[in-house]
Amino acid sequence: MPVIALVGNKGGAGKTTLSVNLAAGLAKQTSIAVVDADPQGSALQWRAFSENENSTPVYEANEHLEAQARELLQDYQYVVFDCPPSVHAPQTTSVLKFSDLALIPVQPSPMDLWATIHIEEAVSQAREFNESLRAMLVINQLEMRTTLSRLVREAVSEIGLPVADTALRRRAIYRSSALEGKSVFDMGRRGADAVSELELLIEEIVNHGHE
Amino acid sequence: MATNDKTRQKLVDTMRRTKVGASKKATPKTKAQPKQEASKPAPAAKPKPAVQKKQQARPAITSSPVSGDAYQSTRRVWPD
Repeated sequence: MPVIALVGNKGGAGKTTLSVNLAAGLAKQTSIAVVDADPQGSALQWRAFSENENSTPVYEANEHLEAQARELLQDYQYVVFDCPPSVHAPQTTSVLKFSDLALIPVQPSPMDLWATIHIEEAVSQAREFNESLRAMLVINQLEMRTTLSRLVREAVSEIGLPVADTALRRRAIYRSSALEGKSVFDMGRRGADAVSELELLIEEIVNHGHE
Repeated sequence: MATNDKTRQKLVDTMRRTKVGASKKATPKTKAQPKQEASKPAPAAKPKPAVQKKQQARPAITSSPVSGDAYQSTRRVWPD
């Protein structure tokens, strides 16, 4: 599963945060690069703030995304594409045509859930060109005390795509690490809980490719 | 529990309605085109009377009170 696309149909769902932290986690096991295909350039900005030269490399997307992925895969085992917050964006449709896995973070909020309904259609359309495309929803920013968080797993099943067993909780460490240009893996004990859940998600993602 | 059930029902219901809305949007655009063509003459005809009414209404308001009563017009000349 060398190409992973972080896609979504709504801003603020956590695509960039997940891209960067997922890449940092995978980098512990293998070589990985991130391509920032979102014109907002948040992943590139995160990398620019990083003082650690060994942190995950982030590349600016060029016009030929598939060729760029092929080129990067000569040097890296995995390439993560951080896509814009729309399934209709040309970058998203293009990336889905050659990705192995589409990861779709979704928050337990009605607006996020409504916006994510359209993803299944986009994945189906992409499968006309890319039969092997797999997709997985990741429940993100879960707050166990809220009713919506408790109900989100049931609601998300309406979308018609597989859902990762691991849900990521809402944690301040994701924001504070970004401020320092770091991933939660660089935050020591403060990032331990976030690291644990990300490691579980990474395991699921890697196994998802071998099912 | 009852609140949870209501929220669950509402959430699932709104998602299903959104899904139906999404699939309706994806249905052929050709159906909408004849409707637009058929309705074109109607909006074109409507604005004209609306403009005329406004033009008629304005003189009706301005012409009546000013010249009618000398006392009232004096009050308007001498504000505080």
